[in-house]
Amino acid sequence: MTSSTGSSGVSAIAEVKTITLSNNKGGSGKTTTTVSLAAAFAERGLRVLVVDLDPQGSATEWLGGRESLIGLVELSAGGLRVSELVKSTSVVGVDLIPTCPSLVPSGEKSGNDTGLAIVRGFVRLPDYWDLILVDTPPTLGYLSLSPLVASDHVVIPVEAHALSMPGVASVMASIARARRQVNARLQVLGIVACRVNAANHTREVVAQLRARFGTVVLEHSVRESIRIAEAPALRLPITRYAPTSGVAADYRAVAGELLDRMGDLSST
Amino acid sequence: MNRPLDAARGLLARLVPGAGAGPGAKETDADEEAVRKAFLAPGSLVPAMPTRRALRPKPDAVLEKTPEAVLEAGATAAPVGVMPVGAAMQISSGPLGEPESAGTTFAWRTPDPDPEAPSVASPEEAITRRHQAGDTAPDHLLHAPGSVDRAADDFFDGLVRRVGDR
Repeated sequence: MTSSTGSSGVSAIAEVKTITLSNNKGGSGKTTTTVSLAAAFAERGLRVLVVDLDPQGSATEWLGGRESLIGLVELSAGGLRVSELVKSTSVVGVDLIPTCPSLVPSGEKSGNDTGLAIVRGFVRLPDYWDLILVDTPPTLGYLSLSPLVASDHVVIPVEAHALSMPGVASVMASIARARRQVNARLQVLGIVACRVNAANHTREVVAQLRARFGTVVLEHSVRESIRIAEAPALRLPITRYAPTSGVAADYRAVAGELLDRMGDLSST
Repeated sequence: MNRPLDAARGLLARLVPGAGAGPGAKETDADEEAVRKAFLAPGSLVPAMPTRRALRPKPDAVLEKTPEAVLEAGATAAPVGVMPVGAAMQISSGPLGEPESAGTTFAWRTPDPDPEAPSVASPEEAITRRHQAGDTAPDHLLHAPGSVDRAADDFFDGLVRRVGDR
């Protein structure tokens, strides 16, 4: 992809980067972080595609979409134009491939068959976007593992809670396996501590994450906020629902830090 | 009507200093009994209700607001289901205290061990360890279960085989 300049003066990323948001624990903030980061990246003038691989379709709903009859699985089979499965969203600059019933195999198809189809679907996507963000379900299986084959980076959202830590270890183990067996370029872009509040416990969990994973844990974290719980009802990302809120600022800061880490930006 | 919560609120209101005229001992005992039954009911999220002695605020306990006042002010409902046994509730504001960031947040302050309280030795030990300077996460929280490696290996190996077959 050739470089172009976005509306906020940030030039586009040199080539499309696929980022999977992964954590096998539920409630870690994957969907919230996916939607919020997509909007924050778009504010910077980047073109973002969100791929909803969670059959629950929360990201799809949040972004104003609805379940589609076609998705990456169908794209992998050929005979389908990308424009037929990519939908616009309530956020300028953010496109969406909604969740799709074919993400769950039926008949004689196995999960691994579907996983391979998803990987092939990713390969068929054009490099129109600067960033592709993949929201995954909170389960260990083909839906959370297949995007690791096609991604450049993984972002791990973590709820600031002691029981979230095994989820991080689990994702790290999956990434190590993926790097060794199928995708040596896969990198952990960062661990994002979410739902951090003033309670000692959450801050201690963040401190423990830093002690264990060092600078992999992002400097910026995301505070707990009722605004985040309210935003999906209006199908708006936090940066539009409560643009001046602290939590919106947190996600903008996280987006900036992630872009810095990718190191592919050239200021204009 | 949430009987356990209402009963608990009523009991807490009586135990908080200055929460109104004190009830007679008989009435308090009846309330406590109702709360105990409610929390020990099958299906209750709370395994056991702390004794009245455990619930009574220590002399040095700081309660800027009563729980009722906090709830009426719209704060998040007190996490009754996860209240540690013998803990006293504090209201605190931290550096992240923006309106939407739970400017009023609950922090649990663990009082001195009560010899009559149910055994919570392990959690207390964990809390004690957590506060040690330079401490890191407990090992058991940082190890992925073996099933993760197996599932990932199965999937990636299968993928490589399938791609090779085609």
